Amino acid sequence: MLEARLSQSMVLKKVVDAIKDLVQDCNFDCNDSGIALQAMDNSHVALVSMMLKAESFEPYRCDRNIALGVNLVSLTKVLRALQNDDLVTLKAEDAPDSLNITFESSTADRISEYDLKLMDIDQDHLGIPDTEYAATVTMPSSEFKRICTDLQAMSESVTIEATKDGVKFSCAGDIGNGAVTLRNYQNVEKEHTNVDIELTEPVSLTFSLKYLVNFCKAQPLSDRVKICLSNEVPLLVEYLVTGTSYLRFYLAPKIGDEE
Amino acid sequence: MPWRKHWVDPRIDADDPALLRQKLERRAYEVWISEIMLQQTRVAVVIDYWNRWMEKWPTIHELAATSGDDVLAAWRGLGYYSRATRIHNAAKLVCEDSAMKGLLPSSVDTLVAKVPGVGRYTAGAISAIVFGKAAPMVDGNVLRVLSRQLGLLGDVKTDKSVIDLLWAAADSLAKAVAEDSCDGEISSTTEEQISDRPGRWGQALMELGSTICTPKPDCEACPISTSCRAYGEGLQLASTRGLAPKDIQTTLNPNPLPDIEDSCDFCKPFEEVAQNGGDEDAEIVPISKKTNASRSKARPRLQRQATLSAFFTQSNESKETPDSVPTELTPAGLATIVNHAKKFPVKVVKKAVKEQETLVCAIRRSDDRYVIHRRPPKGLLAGLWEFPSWIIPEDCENTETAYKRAAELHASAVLDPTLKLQSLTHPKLKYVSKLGSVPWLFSHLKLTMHVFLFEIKCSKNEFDTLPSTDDRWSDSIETESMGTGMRKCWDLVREVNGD
Repeated sequence: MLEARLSQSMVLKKVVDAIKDLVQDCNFDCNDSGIALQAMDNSHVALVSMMLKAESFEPYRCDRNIALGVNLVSLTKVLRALQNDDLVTLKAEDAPDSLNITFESSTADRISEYDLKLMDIDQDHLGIPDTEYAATVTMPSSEFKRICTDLQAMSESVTIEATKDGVKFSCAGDIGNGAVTLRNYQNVEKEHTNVDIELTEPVSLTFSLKYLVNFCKAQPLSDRVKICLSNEVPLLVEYLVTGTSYLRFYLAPKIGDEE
Repeated sequence: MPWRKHWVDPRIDADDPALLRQKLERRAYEVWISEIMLQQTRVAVVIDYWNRWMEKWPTIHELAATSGDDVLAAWRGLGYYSRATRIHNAAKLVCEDSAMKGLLPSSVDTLVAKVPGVGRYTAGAISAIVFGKAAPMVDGNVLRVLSRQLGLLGDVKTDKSVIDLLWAAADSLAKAVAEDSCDGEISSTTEEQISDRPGRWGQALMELGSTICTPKPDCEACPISTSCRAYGEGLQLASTRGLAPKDIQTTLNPNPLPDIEDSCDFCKPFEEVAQNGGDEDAEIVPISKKTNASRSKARPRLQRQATLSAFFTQSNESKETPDSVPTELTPAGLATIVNHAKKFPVKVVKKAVKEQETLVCAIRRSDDRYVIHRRPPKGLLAGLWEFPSWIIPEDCENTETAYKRAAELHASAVLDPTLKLQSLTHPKLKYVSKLGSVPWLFSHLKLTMHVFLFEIKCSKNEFDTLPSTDDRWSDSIETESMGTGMRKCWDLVREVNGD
């Protein structure tokens, strides 16, 4: 059986909010290392990969692999009742019909308990190869969100070009074109505003802004975001949740037509 | 669709030849009218017209006996008015002919030869649907379906050799369908078998073309995709892109043929098609005509959204399928197929529509009658009535005053043709005002009609007979057989009259 208690309960709510527009139903795969989730959007262009490590919970117990098939809209409804400082506990049997979710207020004077019905979900699991990315950009998550929404006003796709000079987000639309360039930036006092670009070779790739803007819904999870690029492979956008727990998004690039 | 009825099986009425002949005559007439109406006109519109037509003239004899104006009036609003005149003339001819006596011929060749206005399409439809013969009927929809089925990348609008090839294919299909008898056995008799199968088959093919195999086809829903060459090619394309399983059954030869593109006289090479905008990926944003902004050179090339399956492996099945081949057709694969099928048949860049301006002169007499003019028996809106109109030549001065003067001269010439030569206006003609302009779009012509109102101050009965026999006075414009565009002009006139 599963029993997992999370003191930073808002993490759960923020994760679900970040992915519920991309994925409707998905399995939370629980095992002794933690709770994982992997799902693609309907068009198989984007993939969400979440890992909440066992260390993020206190206590965490899961003896056998359990798949919790959850409708994210329903889970959102339950999580609406969650208060900021609440402790949240997830409980499930070994072959569960429902997921038991308990909220405890920080002063332990209020306990609410929900049972969410589960479903059987047949899911394609994709093996994601370990990739040495040619470019890794770490920047404030709010900055990334701003760039994506600004450029989306002009075009439906953005070309991300990383060179030794910086990373350039450019787009061309019917009304004209636009670009935002970020350079390496270090501020010792405000480290969260840093822009770090690690580069082994220059890359240039084009992506759909609709999806990128969707990924930015994870911005409340973390004030930093890591973007990894290599030519001709999907883009990785990673938000660290707590410790080494993460929420990752992969997005297939737009590629020139073969004909 | 009210014209779809059960097939008149001659075996059932074999003992009563007179009744059978009557049934066939009526059925042939119904199908003929429906097929002519359906050319260039949408089904929803035709239904009403057809029902009213059949109520008015239930048989071909009644149609033959009526007046040409009545026929034109019943056709009003359907457009391509020469169709109505041709039907009427043909009805008269068929009824007067000593051999036909009102019954349309059953064979395609005789239909085309003897009935004016019936081409090979209508002939095929009548022959197959009514008389149960193995005749092909190929409309624009069928041309599209068959060019996809055969993988014929040709121009089905203007290239005669391509059109003939598709007709020949349709003919073989109709014959094959006719030979399959209902119990599945191939009939051995050599004499021509008749049945409802060719007609049902032909209509099914047209229906498929109008509902599923449309310019933007729904290949997923198509019942005959397994025999479709365009689908097969698209599937192979999807398979090479890793969007479809490798071992999927296609109609294509597994051993690719040597490139014989150059030796095919019918198909256009693909590159040429692609240049003409054949490859329309949904993601590509059309350049808005309104923005004058020049196309930036940084504008990305045509780009296609890739899916993750091309990059990530399916870990569940990784044991069975080591390479990242999906086990079934992915949505992106289907899109690739649809995109490929969309290239068939070759799209032809439309010629720019000719533009024309005409002056329309509404000439009102003091007793509220207007002059109307009958259009020539051939050409656009043949035989319909209109207000006296004058097509502005291209070299005419393009100003309001010049138009007004030209309208005055044209209106004067209606009353006295000699005035035109002397460039004089008729003393009794009074210019009232310009009422406005009516734009009207024909399939091949963009017409702008400038409407001018004139009055004649005269004593009663003066001008009763107009110099031209094609002109006359009318006291109820509403009931005249006029084109819809001219009716819009009349609306302008009525507005100033205040009714």
